[in-house]
Amino acid sequence: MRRTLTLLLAFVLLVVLALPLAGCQRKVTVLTGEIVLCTAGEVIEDNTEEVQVPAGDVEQYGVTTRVITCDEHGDLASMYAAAQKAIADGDLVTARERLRTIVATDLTYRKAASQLAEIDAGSRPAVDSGSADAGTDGTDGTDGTGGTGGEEPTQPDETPVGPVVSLTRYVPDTIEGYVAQGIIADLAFLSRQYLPTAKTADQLMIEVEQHVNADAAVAHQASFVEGYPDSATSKTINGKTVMAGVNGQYAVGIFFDGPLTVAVELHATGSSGAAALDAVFAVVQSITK
Amino acid sequence: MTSETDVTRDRKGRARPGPSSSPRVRSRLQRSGARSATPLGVALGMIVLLLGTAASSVLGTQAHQSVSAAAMAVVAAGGAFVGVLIVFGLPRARPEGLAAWLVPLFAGAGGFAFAPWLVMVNRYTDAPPGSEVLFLTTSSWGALLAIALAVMSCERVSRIGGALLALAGAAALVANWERPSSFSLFVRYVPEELQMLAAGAVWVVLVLVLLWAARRGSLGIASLSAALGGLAGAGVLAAVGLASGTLSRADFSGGGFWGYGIAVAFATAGLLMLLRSASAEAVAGTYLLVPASISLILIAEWVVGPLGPQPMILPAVLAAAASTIAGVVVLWRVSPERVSGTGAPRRVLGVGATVVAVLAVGSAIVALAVPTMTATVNGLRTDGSQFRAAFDLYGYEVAGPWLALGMAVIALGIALERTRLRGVFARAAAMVVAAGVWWIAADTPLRTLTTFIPSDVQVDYGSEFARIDFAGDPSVWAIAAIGGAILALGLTLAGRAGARAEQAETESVGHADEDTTGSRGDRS
Repeated sequence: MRRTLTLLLAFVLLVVLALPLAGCQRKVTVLTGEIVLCTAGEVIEDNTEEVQVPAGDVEQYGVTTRVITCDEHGDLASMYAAAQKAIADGDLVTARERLRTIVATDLTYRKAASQLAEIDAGSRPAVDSGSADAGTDGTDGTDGTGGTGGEEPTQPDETPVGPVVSLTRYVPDTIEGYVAQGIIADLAFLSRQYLPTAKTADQLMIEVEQHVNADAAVAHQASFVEGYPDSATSKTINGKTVMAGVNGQYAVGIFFDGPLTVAVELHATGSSGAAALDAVFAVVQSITK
Repeated sequence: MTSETDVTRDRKGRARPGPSSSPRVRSRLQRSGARSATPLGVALGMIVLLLGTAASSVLGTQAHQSVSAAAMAVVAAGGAFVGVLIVFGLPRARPEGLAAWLVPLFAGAGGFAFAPWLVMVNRYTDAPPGSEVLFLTTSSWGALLAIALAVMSCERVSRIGGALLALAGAAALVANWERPSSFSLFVRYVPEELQMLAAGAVWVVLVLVLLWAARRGSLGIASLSAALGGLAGAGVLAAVGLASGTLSRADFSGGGFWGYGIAVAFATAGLLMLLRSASAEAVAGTYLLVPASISLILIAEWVVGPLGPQPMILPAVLAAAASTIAGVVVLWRVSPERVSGTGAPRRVLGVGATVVAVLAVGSAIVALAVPTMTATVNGLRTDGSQFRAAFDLYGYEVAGPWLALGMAVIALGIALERTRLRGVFARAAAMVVAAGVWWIAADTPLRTLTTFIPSDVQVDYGSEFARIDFAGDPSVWAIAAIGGAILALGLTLAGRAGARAEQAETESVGHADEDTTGSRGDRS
């Protein structure tokens, strides 16, 4: 009896110890679908759902994000642009009318409320030259973290200060076809991510770096582009020599401006970044005007 | 631990003619320097082996990144040779036959050269993770040795249970060094990890060969043969390395490299100090305790604070260490009961304890096979898309059910075996400690990484880009197993106590009868 039990136990233990090696085919619950965001940061559609899939198929599932400008914020943007033009032209009556319409719809839309208050107080507000796509409460992102209550918009904490501010001219709030995200700044370096509205690419990154002198910037340009050996090309845009290349899905264009280097990098959704080179040049064209 | 006699299981309580019971063998042991272990001697040997093994593990991790596996094997074999010289010097006696030096020679080539080489050749710059390598090359080797020793004993069930408990405790310990942990056995580097276990089997053969030599009284000769075998094996590996261009003179440099060799020398010296007592349980126990000892170093580092906040989950680490120590206590050899009267519990309680213990083992096995905890993963993939998944961890991927299985097997062993009552109490106390701290370490996931979650998400665990969270507690099956084990233990102890009381009563009645008879005789 004791011997039988011992042998049985030995067999069972052997089987049990083999469990970690054998494993098992399990089901995994994954979230899949698409979230549609407005450039103002609001979630327009949430088409995600939880599905149970075999473990081997998990990698195929995920949640994608699409950014569009919704009708409401599209109308507000054009009306706000008209109001800014009227302010610039000195037509405060038209500007007031436009701003009142905007405030009636969205009290926190950019600087509409404060500009309206200034006009009502008899003064002429400054023109808001920020991104036309930027949304509620003066923020430009899609994160929807703006404040409420019509307060004066506050600058985000990551707004660069000091000498690095001079580099911000290459990372504007507005680039046609892209939605700007926050700026990440260091002492002599800053970068800004943009979300493309077109489907051919899913990320745009602009990196501006301050070097010791122009020679160092030229050297950096040459070494940087070596990392993108495919489809190598160069082009002169607005007086800047842009060296470009591709590495996998990434297409990059880099130029220097005195001691600065500016790298424009696009991540294509297709299999190769070569098709995104023209879009890179278009961005360079936009930021070097 | 001791050189006490072993007995057969022929239900007669007859002593098996073994190494220490035979006067001829005992005298030979005494002549050759084999000695009964004193607690102090065992403790000293364990400390030397523990420090040497822990240091060789840490320094090996540092050195292997820039040194070839063949060079590591050479320095390991050299260190082992020095370790043998430290303990025995150059023996003057000659081997008594071909087998007396040839078998240790081959075992030494395997254990002192091939095993370190096999471990090092399967290590990459930062993979498999250090916690897995440590577990697979120390605790697992100790458990393999403990199981091999248990199988050859007549207390095999409880001692195997002890090995399981100690091994599960060691796994839970290293899995709590950080959270999320990179400790995920047999997920990403299965062939490499299996080869590390195979290296452990080779090392176990060496230890057993040396143990048998110690029991024959020829440990010194066998050790030297094994060390020479190690050097020869390392020479072969070095020759192959030189021929293939993987070994060069530049490999033989660096503080970590030479420190590894010195640590191996001390580890070998500690191993031989313990084997001189003709017992290897201390060796197995020490290897199982290496992760716990390295944890103590981390605690000291935390107190000093040179590397910032310590990442260990301290309560779980301490609980796991306590479980490991409890397992080591159980796997230690205890001389079985010689008198069948007090060895056997009352029949009803004995059968009851066995049945309950079998049910507890069954319950623990079910606990290993059913989903136990849930893992939720949130992350950002490199293409910018969000990833979110939830999946179950089965019982065999969590520490609790393994600890429960170890305790259930121990309870079954105690119920089945006729161990000396003192040993039963020691094992019962160890089991009660393990059961007491079980809940603290029970929900430790033994697998964080998987084959199915995208690797670009898993690599970011613990950063702002990805996280994994575990929820849930060990299943009721595991709790039932623990409860069953404790109940079985209680029944066994009650049965043994009852049998002891009955025997004492019988003996006192017998004495009274003798007295009465004697009086009558006197009167007559």
